[in-house]
Amino acid sequence: MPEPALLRVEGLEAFYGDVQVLWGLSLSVRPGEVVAVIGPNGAGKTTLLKAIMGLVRCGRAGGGPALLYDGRPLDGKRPEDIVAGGIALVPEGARVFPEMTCRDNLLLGGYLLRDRAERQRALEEVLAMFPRLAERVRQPAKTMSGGERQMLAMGRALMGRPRFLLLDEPSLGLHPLMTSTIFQGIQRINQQGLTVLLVEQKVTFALKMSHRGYVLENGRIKMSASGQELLRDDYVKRAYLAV
Amino acid sequence: MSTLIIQSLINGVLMGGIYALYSAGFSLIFGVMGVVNIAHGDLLMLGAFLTYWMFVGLGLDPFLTLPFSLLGLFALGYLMQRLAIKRVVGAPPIMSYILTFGMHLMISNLALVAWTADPRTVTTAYSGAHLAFWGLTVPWIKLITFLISLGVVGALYLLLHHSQMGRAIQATSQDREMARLSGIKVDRVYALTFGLGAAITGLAGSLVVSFRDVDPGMGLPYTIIAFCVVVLGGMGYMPGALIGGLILGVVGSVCTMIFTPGWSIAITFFLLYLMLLWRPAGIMGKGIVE
Ligand SMILES: Nc1ncnc2c1ncn2[C@@H]1O[C@H](COP(=O)(O)OP(=O)(O)O)[C@@H](O)[C@H]1O
Ligand SMILES: [Mg+2]
Repeated sequence: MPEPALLRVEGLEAFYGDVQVLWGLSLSVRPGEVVAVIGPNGAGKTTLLKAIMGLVRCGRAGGGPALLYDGRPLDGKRPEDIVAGGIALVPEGARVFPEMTCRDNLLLGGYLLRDRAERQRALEEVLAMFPRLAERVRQPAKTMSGGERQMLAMGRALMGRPRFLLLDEPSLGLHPLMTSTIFQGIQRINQQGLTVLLVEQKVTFALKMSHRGYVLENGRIKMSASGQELLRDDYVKRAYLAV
Repeated sequence: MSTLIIQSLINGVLMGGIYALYSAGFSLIFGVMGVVNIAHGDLLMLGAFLTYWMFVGLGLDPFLTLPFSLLGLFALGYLMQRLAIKRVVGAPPIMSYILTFGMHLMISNLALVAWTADPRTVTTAYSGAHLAFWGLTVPWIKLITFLISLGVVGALYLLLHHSQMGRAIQATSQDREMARLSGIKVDRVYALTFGLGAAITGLAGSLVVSFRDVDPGMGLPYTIIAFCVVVLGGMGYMPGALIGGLILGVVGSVCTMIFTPGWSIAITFFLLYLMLLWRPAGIMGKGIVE
């Protein structure tokens, strides 16, 4: 019997005003997996993550819940409640709070933790995971480099001790060395038991470290397979790996 | 002559403290929600009346009424946000002007009906007491008011920068969606912020009762001064309220000494005009410019 999915997306449709962006999209993520979603610009990858977080209007073709997390529907829930349920998003472009220090950004990520002592413990764990951040705790986030901001955004998401982490193009705009640092971080996070849904344009990197992957085009799932299979697939090679 | 100048500088600085206090609330609300609260001065007026009535009705010393106006105006501000202001957060600024202008009209006219336009005064046993040295005088009431104002603005700054609630307020003002994604209930943060802004403004109202008369129309000029102060210091930048308040206090007081009170208003507005042209983000350049 296959393990039940942590997240099951069924026939998801998403809209900006009257404009439909996702057209009956289905996918699933099992506990402990890293699942990659790849696809060109404008395919709807960010929209998918926003729909999971309750940030865009969405529904299911034919009615019923389109998003099941741990067997319970997420549809219609507010973002702050979805976060409280253990899902965290690291958004495209990191979006750290620019005027706040590195430390305050992290402490804010632990907003839902029970008390100060627990926030302090979480802070120490995150700083141990990203030593670069530990050197910069007093620095305003807006003065940090792109890679550091990305680490900060990941650290901020981890501060809330989520079970399920959504990452939206964490390597966007980073040089190769920093990109591999970030991907190593994601792998370590996954080894500690977190389930990861990773949206990426750096296809080789993403598929190599993912258990399974989906190709998203024009708001629809074009294909899905294991990471290794997708890397060998002719269509993926032609369209995304330029070989 | 030099005594006169020093005296007017002292008066200006003392005045600047209270300017800073009620402008801090105005700046906080603008900085976090982008709402220009035209009913701001009316909250101050309500604080002033609360103190007046507690003094007349219960014989309570004006300084002892401070906790009541703090709590009372906090509750009122919280409710105003929950019932009305929340509809214009994130809307074009004109919407918040119209709504809060309407609130200004309602509050000040209801107060007029309830309490008439007669100016009222509060006189205590220590009203005239002052420190005197080197030919200068410093009224005790103004000195204490100044110190309380500084203390409250400082406390507000600490609250914003060193508490989890303050971090939530800052985060909400910097990126509302990301704040929600950290688990913050932003509607509650807005209500808290408006409540806090109203509370310290009400406190300022209770303080001015000790050295001026109280009437239902007293609010609007305070809104205008608060506006000038935060333009000088930078919209939404807390320490700016202190800097702007002190500058405006001193300029007003020195102009009154050299010319007349009328001139002091004219020069204040001229200063404001220059600031808007020259440094729209305030003297420190840290305010928010739309
Ligand atoms: N806020 C928005 N309002 C209207 N349309 C949007 C908005 N955000 C994204 N879109 C549109 O939705 C489509 C999918 O966008 P997005 O999910 O950001 O794609 P991706 O992340 O895959 O690059 C695009 O055509 C984009 O133009
Ligand atoms: Mg995107």
